[in-house]
Amino acid sequence: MSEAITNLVPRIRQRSGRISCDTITLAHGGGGKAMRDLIEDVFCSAFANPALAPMEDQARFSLSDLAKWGNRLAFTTDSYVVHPLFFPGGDIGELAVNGTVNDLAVSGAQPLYLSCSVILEEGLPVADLRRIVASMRRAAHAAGVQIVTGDTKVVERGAADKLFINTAGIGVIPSGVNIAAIRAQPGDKVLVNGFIGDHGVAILAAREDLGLTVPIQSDTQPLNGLVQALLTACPAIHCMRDAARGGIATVLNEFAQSADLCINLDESSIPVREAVRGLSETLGLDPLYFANEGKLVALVPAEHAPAALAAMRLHPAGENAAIIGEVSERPKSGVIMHTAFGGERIVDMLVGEQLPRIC
Amino acid sequence: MVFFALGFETTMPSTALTILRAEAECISNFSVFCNHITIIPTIKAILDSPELTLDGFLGPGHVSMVIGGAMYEFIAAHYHKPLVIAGFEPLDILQSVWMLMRQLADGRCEVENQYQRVVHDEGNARALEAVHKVFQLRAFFEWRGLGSIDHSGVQLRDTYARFDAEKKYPVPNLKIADPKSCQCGEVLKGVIRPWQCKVFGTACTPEAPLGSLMVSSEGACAAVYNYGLVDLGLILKKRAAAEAASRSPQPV
Repeated sequence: MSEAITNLVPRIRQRSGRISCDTITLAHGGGGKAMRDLIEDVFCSAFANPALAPMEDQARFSLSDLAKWGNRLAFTTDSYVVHPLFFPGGDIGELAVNGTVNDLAVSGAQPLYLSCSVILEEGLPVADLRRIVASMRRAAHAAGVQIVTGDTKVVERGAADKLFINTAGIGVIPSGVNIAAIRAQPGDKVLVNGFIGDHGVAILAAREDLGLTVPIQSDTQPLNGLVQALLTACPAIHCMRDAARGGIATVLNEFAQSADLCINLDESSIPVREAVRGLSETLGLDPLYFANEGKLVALVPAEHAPAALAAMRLHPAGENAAIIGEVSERPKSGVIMHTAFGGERIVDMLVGEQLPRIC
Repeated sequence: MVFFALGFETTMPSTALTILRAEAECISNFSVFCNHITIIPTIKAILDSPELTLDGFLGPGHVSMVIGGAMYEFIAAHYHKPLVIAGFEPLDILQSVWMLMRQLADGRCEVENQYQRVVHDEGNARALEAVHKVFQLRAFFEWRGLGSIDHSGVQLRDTYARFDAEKKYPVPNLKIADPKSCQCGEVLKGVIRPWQCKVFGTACTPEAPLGSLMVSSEGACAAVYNYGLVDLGLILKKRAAAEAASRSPQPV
């Protein structure tokens, strides 16, 4: 090896380790030094943890450490494409952490590790990316999870809308916990941990510039703490799901169909903020179908329902929790709303999107 | 950018205000393909239909919020049909139906306003001003199920021609015939009930609608399909039996 080459290597290897430009370019996805700078400067510095530090192609965990938490792994993934990236009450980064944490939490699992895969559109301001990653870090910290592996891709302008995030998550389910839609029983009470529809309305208002006098904040929040409190008070929870896209109506239909039972809702006991109700009435939309990002629906045996409700209300993520209905045998696979004025109506899954009224 | 503008007077003001804003900001790469429709000529056409079998009308709440309740007076005065402007919540609808039935029972034909918390007699003056400034009536407009109705659509006034996609771009005058089996028009006029339509629940469902009445939570047919106490199985059985009978050779 010539001396000259040997001397050159350190010079060539030199990198600032920082992003010097204001916007993301295709170079940041090229696999070279610019990409390395992006990953180190934006992601590794924010997510710093022992599993991420070696920068291998994968994160590694000891099975015996995982086994301390329980006897089954829970594994989930979700993609986040929300527009706008920043909205009242949160941003896409916070959603990407909380959404996956919640998908794990509602199985009763302790969420532990997340991946973070981002698809960036050429031209995205680096400042926006930093703000989103910082918010992911805060959300991960709040939920007690670590972001241990990830990926970045950059696509040409127009091939994506600014920024998409995929997070996958691993959690461990304690032995003895068995929460599944199929376990619903006649007589079970239906619980929700607070006001429904806030996230859907916050996004709608931000997207359509509705100029609400009372801005509604997204309800994005991690639910693992609440679920642990709930499991302590009521280990016999039968079913529990995160009521995200499609709202509580969709989750309840899933429960009803899985267990081939009927879920009866009491309209007057469903917590809906006045502003959400007002906007729903004006636009002809139903809050039951609005997305939530920090709401779960649980079915618990009737005898445990008061304890479960009390435990929820003691937790900050469940202050406005309510019992909103109960399970009966018939009609099979049905969700029936008992309206405030004494009527009944079928609450079905949506065919597609909710359409606002135009007449 | 071309905005596909549609809807009755409810959505017309926002299109009008958008065009006025585009004009004020000298925006040149924006135009509107105007498919807005207007309510009064349409109701008139339904009222003039010889096969009309409606007893009265629930007036559209948000259209009325824009145009005002007074616009419907002719329906009571000339056509002797009662009309109640209705809100959209379940209790609004129930109360409006009750008000209509009370009018029918009393032998009255009036325009009544159940949706008073939103609708006023004179309408929304600022919205109407923008609408009149930007739009003028078209000679006629094609309707699903109802055919062509005179003056039932609007177009941009010549002053705003530079925002009119029909003037800026060659828009082929496409005629798309209604599907033969679709009976939306007869349902709209009260000639048949939704479940009496030949394709209700078979070729036309909320998942795959043929006609506009099967679309969205507020389409009449979609509402009956989802919530009506109608035995779909029985209807289909009867329909199949009738078809079989019409196919079988006639006795000589």
